[in-house]
Amino acid sequence: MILEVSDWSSKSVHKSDVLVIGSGAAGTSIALGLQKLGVSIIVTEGGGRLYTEKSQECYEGESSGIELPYGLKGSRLRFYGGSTNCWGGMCGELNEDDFKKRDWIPDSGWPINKGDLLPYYKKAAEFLGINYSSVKNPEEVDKFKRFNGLESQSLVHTKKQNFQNVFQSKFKNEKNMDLFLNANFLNFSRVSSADKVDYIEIGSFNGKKSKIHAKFFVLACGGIENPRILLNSAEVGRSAFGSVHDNLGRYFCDHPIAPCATVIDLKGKSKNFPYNESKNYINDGKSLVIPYYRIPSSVQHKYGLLNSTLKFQEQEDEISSSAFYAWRLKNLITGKGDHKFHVKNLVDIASDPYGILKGIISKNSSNSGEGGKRIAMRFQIEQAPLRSNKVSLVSDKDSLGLNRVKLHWGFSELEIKTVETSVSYVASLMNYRKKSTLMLDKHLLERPSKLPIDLRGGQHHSGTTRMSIDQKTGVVDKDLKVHGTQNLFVCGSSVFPTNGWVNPTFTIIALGLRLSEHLARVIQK
Amino acid sequence: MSKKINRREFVRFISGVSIASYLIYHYASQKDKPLKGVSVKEVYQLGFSIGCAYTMSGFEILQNIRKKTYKDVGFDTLLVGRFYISKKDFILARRVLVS
Repeated sequence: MILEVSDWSSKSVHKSDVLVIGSGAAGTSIALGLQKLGVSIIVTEGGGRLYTEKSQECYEGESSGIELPYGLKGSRLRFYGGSTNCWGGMCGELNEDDFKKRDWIPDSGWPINKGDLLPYYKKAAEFLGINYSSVKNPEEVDKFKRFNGLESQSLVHTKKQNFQNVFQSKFKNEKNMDLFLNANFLNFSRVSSADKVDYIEIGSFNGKKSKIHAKFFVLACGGIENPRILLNSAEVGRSAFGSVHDNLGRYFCDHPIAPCATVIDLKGKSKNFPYNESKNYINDGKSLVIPYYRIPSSVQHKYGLLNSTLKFQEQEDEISSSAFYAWRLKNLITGKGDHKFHVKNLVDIASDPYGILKGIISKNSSNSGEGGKRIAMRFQIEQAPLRSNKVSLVSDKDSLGLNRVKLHWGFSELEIKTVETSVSYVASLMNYRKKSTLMLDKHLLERPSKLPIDLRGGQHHSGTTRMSIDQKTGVVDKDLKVHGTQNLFVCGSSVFPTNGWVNPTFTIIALGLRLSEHLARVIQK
Repeated sequence: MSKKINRREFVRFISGVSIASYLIYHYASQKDKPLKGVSVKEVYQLGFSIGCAYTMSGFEILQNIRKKTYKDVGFDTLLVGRFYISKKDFILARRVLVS
């Protein structure tokens, strides 16, 4: 059943085996997994069926360091389906290395290995209607172009992108599964032992409130909202759930993604480059498969790199800083995007006012440099987990009374070293064949090297409630239960200790299906 | 049917031929002490590659090679200006330009 909390006439109390907070990729996969296993579930979603400014505004907050490209409010969605409403549908699995402790990456290593997730990756592929073999062995897909010296990877596109559209009939028809819309989380109520949640209180924007009791509670609201809700659970005399060792909200990661070099054919015909993405899309009969090329594990280990992939894409010419700021100013003036300016931005603008003015007037200033086309090599890499990258609370509150967040995000030298070494390695492979080479983008020539000015995160927020063996090093255990609690779980990319190169949603769904089996086992005991 | 000439490709072609000719001129001017094991074809191909790849900055690359201004990035590859060049090609260009 799908119910609107704002329509309820009186204060009510509800009960289920499992309560899931959040109706995005994690929440939906857990709910559907549990429903299959005969467990009763309630899913709560803070927003309604459609985007509303009132709901989305709860995501507003402060930031420092590098700004998220679309800001805190613009990089996720707060209504039924969550951020699957803007998900690109790209599915890929983490590599075996991602789960291992790598000495050159501080705080790396998962408490589970890839073998633990494999059965659930297969189930996630079924869930999304894609061929798992195209994810696992892309070279076996007809017409896949191998790049000698690089490992073949892929992202497989699912058509089941928007979970509201795809799965709402399940919520409507299944008896043991309810979805409450406009059911904003307000607070946890603990039993006297303090390590167990008794019920949660939910409320709508028009003031209707309700209590939901459950045996188990699962937080599935995304990489920024999960720690925010947990941090808000602190009470007088009781610390926030999962916060004893100050790991909660820390290790925020996203994927650095940007162009880094131009491919140049040594005979001057770069458009013939066979790995150009637009010429290299393949269809496995069910889905579109997008090839990616990974720097081999042996090279990553030898040179101490983060997990790194590359793809080749036809795009606008290399962007200059004046063109970039012209684009941002233009967006600010026209009200597009969610761009704020800091003092350092104003200094950059003041250094080249003529170039920026030219960029604003130019028809080609939509994030372009000189308006030409090139074959760019783009990187998509893992981010090193940094303790200093964190989500914390500020005193300002949203309309529901929850403290807003402040996000600090930055990069380490390891990301720059990974990009530089990866480009050099690929250039050497190209030089060996004597057909093409690379021209490095300007920003990587600066000393100290900088990551690209138009670097964007993938809106893949992760790491803030990391999985660990014990509570000294993380927030949740390998079964995703919050350390030091009896019945509170977290699911989503916030539990990733490291984020690999790959888009996270496929792994989120695999983890959701794994958690649903775990909870069903515990309940049936 | 004639193929349309892309302006960028045309510039690359002209630059490639110019730099290849420049290198052959250097090679030919050393006739009294010919470079052992280096053919005209190899010199032309190297010059054409540098010209095509770096278009108008090709001569700057040659200057950098002459002055040994480069960064060794490993993997038998050097970064000359913004251009990745194999160590083997670098050594060949230097022999032609400096011997």
